[in-house]
Amino acid sequence: MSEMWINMGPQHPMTHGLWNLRVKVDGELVIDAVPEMGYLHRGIEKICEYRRYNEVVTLMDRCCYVAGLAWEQLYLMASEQALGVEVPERAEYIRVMCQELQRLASHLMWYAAFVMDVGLMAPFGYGMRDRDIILDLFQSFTGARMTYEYMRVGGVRNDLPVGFTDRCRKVMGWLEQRVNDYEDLCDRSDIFLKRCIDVGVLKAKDCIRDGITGPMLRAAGVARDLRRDRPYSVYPELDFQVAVHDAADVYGRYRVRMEEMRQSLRIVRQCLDWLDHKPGRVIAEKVPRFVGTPSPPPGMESYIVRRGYPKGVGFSAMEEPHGEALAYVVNEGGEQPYRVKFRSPVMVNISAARDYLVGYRVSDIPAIMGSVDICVGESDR
Amino acid sequence: MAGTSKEGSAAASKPLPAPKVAIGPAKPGSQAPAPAASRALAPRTDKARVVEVALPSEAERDKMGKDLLDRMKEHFLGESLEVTERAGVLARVKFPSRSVVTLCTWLRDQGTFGHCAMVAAVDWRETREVLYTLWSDHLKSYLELTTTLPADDPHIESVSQVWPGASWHEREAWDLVGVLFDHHPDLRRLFLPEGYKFHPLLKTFELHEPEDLEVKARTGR
Amino acid sequence: MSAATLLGVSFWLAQTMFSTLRPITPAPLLPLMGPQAQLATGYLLAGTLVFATGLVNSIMLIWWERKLLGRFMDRRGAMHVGYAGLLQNFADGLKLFRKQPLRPREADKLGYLLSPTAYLATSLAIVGFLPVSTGWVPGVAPLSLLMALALFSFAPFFIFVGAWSSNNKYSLIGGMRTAAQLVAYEVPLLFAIVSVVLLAGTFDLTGIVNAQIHDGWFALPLALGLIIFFVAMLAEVERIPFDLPEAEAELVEGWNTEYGGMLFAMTTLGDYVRALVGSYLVVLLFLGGWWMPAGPYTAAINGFPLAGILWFQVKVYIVFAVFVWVRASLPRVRTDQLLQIGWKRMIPLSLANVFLAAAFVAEGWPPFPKLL
Repeated sequence: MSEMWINMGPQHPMTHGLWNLRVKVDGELVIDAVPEMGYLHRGIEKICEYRRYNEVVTLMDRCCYVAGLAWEQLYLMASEQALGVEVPERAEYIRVMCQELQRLASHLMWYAAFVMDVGLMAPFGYGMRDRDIILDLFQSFTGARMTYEYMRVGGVRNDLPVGFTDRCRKVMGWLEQRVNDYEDLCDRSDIFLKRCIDVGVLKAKDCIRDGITGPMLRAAGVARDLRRDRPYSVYPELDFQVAVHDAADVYGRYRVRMEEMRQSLRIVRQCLDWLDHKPGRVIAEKVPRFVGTPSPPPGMESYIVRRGYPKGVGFSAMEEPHGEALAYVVNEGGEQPYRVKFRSPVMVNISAARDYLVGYRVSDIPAIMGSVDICVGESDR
Repeated sequence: MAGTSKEGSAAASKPLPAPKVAIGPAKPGSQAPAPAASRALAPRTDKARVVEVALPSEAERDKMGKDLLDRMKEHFLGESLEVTERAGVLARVKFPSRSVVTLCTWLRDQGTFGHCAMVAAVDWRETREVLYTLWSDHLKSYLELTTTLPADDPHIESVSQVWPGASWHEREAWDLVGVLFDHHPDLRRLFLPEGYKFHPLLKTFELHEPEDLEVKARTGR
Repeated sequence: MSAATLLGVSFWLAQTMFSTLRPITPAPLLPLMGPQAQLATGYLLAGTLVFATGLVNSIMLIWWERKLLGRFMDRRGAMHVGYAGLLQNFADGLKLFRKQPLRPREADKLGYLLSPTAYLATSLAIVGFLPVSTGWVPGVAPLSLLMALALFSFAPFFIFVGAWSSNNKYSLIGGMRTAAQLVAYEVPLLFAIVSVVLLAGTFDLTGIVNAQIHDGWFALPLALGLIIFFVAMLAEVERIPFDLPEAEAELVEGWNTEYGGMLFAMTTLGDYVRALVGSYLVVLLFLGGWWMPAGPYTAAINGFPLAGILWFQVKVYIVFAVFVWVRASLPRVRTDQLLQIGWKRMIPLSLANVFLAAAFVAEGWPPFPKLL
């Protein structure tokens, strides 16, 4: 059979979002792949320039719909640096707890989608159900299940409700059990192993060359985790390890994410212990007043400059569930940021699609792309 | 290329092990292992290892970083680099745009910056700034490179030849801010349709509320 | 009792109908109500009964699968239309039936429209050769098993024609996969059947079932054959882990991607009719058909045809539950792995199974004297 191009996307069960993977196949063999993005581009970076600092947080939830809190913190760390705001320690602990809960939720969602991609039906429901339980936790202190708008410049909006820590601990204990179960469920299946092992291999040096980060890189044996390598927030005070696998294939990525869930559980528990004993403020006392006041009505007067307000540039990097995310916020003394720029790990991970797809079969594409963990909301912004 | 003439000084200061990074985009089919029908399955106890990452101490890192910056300044004496301190990153290096590839290649090969994390472009109305954020696994820190381009002719050499992973960042910068990267392997628009007239992150591109447009359409004003 | 067969019941129905209708028929039409017409009506009724039960049974299988799959995934499945969602699939079918038929502009009209029809028709025709109880089969043929299998192996052609004429790349890949897969698994399927035929000594399905009254289920001596038959059947009816032709993760919906409305309903229904036929065959060939365990002693109960039908259906639904169980717990294999399993594992095993059956026959089968 002759070679042909297939459009996998923008509406395709494999894509988990709106993007297009053009693959050239020779029968069942993939001989070329060209990813194409932009179907979900909403111009978030542009809109940020027209919103005050706290209003941008709303956009961050829309940025990544499976890890909204991670992007809220990413943006806020950069803008707090740009504005020169100190965050109270309790708020930092709450933020880190949110991070790790969000990582758990994101990885569980990934698990559900990934097993569906290799054709395993039942665990899809399990993964989604457990994610929902974490969303219940989020709902109890942020009031929302997906678009949280919880963090603010200088801290978080509100403290945790009474009895939250006990409830959360119970869920963590239960999840620990479930994560082990899920791992067994997959590892005792020969077909699952056959579908995953030695598929989608991208070795460490290729990963670094292509700029790939996150679980994909760690699955190739590189122990790069910004939580450890370039600690931010209160991560230096927490005890956890970096999960690494040497296989560099789909199986390794699956293993790394499973282990990361366990480490996340550990971190959440430590945060809960700390939060139990150290009450305090959750938002900084000194925050520039304009960050919280609403924007001028929609005529979109762009860019009001406050005379005499200090300028600054903020830069933050964090280990988001999908990989290394960077934010760059330029404060030119205005009420709105002058320029906001994000680095989405997913975008870079997709950009190398040709390198890990070529040579495998059409049936492998969902498994490989599933193991990359794609969230188009953040890659297109 | 860069660094060959500096053997002596590199040996005198503490030489950093240069990471071996393949250059150039991967060719399709160049690394296509056979699907694993014949290979044995890995044992099922093949769990992910957990590792404790040994971080160099603060002082050690500072020393290594300073060392590297000194070597860089020495090597690019004629290039008028401006090195400034910045919180959160090793340094912010302002460099003339013509030396981007030399500088980046040197930093990759001699400076252990094997990972190009981000290429950002900022529109400063009269000028455009291009900002490279590099990560070194050895120094465990970021380095910011920045350069200024004239707004009427924003051209710069692409660094995709140095780090293939920067390719899409540059496409994004071209798409949204309109910075042209010369010798880029595939400089198409990333998000917006091909043939779109604007570069929306330019300050000259004003946002309009949809309501405004509706009112305009209705009243003709 | 013996009159209560399928044909007996339908002829009786036809007779009743004609004898009530004849007095009120106007005189000019009376020649149309002769004995030939009555006979034809009887056969028509029998066929209608078979097809209606086949269709309704398939739709109930969908319900059964949805409920079971729901339980496996920790949810409830269909539950709103009718008691426990029993009528949900009829409602779905009605919805599909009311949809506007759409055809891709580039599709080949004849192949596109005809292949789902032919697929469903040939699949339903198999039901006509499968007895569900003593005498409850319209096509009394000494070679009914071969006939059923012949019809069963039509499907790949129609699938491939439909896939090709849809003019869609996903459909085409799905169609090619179907052809490769169905051809690869037909061989072990037939070998597994050969072993049963060796033991039973007949190609007549009723005969095969009857042979199991005395000798016990063929599942016992031919456990290997049962496993091979079951796995090959999974592949033949395109269910997980062998549902590559419609692997929704990569091929959207596989060979029927371009079908919508009633045509889609027909392809799906065809799939489930084939699944039903697969379950029927497993029960008929290996699990003693409609006879309850300890056949000779429960013969009195089995004398009632209705009891046989019910018992048979219970077995069929249990076998199908195993299909669903497999679907809920196994991932999908890859194309090359599928063919490797088919050609390299299944065929040698099925040949070994045939030799086993031949050894049984050579050593004198059954090993114990007949009880009755």
